[in-house]
Amino acid sequence: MINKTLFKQYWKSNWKLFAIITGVLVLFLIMMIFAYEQMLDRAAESGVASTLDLTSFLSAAYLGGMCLLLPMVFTIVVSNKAIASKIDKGSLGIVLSTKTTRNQVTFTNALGIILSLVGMFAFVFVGGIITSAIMAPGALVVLDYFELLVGMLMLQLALSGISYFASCTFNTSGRSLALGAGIPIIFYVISILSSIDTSLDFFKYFTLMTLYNATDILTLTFVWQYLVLGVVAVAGYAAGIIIFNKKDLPL
Amino acid sequence: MESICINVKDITKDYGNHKGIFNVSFEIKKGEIFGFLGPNGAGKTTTIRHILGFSKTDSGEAIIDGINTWEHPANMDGKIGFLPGEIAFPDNMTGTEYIKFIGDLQGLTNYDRADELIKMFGIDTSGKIKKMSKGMKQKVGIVTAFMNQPPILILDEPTSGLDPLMQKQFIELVKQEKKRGATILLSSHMFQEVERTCDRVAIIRNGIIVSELNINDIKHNENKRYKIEFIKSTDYDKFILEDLNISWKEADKKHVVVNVKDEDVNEFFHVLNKYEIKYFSEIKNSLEDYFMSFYGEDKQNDK
Repeated sequence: MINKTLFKQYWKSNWKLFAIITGVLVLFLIMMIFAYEQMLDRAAESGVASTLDLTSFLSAAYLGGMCLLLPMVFTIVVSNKAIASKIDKGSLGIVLSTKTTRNQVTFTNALGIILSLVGMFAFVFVGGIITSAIMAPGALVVLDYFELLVGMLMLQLALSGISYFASCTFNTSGRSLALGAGIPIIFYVISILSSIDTSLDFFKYFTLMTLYNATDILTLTFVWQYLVLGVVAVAGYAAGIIIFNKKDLPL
Repeated sequence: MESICINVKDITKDYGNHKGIFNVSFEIKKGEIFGFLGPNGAGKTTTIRHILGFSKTDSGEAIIDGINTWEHPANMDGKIGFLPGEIAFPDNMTGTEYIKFIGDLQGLTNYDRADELIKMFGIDTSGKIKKMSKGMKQKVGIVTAFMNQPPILILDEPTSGLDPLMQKQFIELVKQEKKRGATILLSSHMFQEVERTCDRVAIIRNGIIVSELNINDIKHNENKRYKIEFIKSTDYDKFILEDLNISWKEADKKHVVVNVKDEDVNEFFHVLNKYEIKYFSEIKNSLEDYFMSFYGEDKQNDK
């Protein structure tokens, strides 16, 4: 199912974007920890002890913002590039005339995207631990931090499942992006809307982002949410792979 | 009996609005070069998609070596070399990288033939493919289609973008491949390359096969056409009343084209003897003429 040559090709065409997004993510994380440190210093100067711990600070200032948006942009771009764009341009025709099968193409690219996301969050995890150990020793609750990142990773995998499904289903980049970028962006906008005012609270039922809830995660009541995100991810990838295997390819 | 390699059995794929292919059937024997002739949009590429297993038929099936290509595409067994009509490449690869990429996917270990082809077509593979001219891209596509010496070659408009010299080189290549025993489907709208390389031809029009013929039947057709110009108008006027199959005439130029079967040729010369002739020549039967009889109806003056 996994083709070594195609796997290499995936990394060759995506490592730059992966490096940039991961780099910015880690850089932003370092800045956030630095800002937290500054805040503590200022609080100490004015004689008030801050009650905000680093983990909650990161959860509020980082995970719901950059750490949500940047990986989302990565999967939207890479998912579309993986399948739909290759049909749109036609470069998949020759690939599928070699010994390569359709399943090899879809499985290999799916693996590439999933590993990219896991790798990205591994960098963020390790980067957070190292930076906090240097700048604010002892301030980070590693287990909580880990759980938060796993939660966000699950959300990203679910969103990437949607993007990948779109890429496998449609034959043009335009249509693939309409769904594969449109749905995650709409989810994001809805999640912002629902948090603006309590009267708009019911909007939260229309977005996947609700399933990432830092409070629930930290109080360990999050298992079913992970399960739903996991199901969405698996369903997205599986449906995409199955549809691609059965559809007409205009190559 | 020669064995059938590619069998297109009554394939219909209806895209609506009279677009698609309808009851397309033909058989290509092992080692045969089969031309697939028709203008753009006639259904050549659609037919090829079904042979390659890229598309599912509405009805009918495409079979290679006895196996339905939708259920088990022949490329999986490394049988196919494919040159698509509109060639496209992954971003940001050099020619060399791309050839290696496709070679790896083909499981190719020996690149001697690839190097031969690169030399044969004079390709500089060091540059980025994106920056190459259309012709150069086409040549890179030719290299990847032929380099693993597959038993079956599916070539969709293979010489588009090539200059006349390279088109000639390509015809040479196809002849080499025939000697090697390859079975080739060559889709084209270039009569010359089909005429020079193919054993048999199918002509497709609006998604329907309108004719299938042996190239030799055209080259050695017993129906010949002769063009005659008379010196005197009176001869012209008299001649057109003769009991002959005159397919074309032009009074002011005193031109006449006569269709004559080989068996009637002596009788024809007896008739000609009575006239003063300025010149006389045979019009060679070509695939183009044959093709035009299906396509150029409105342009011809035939009755």
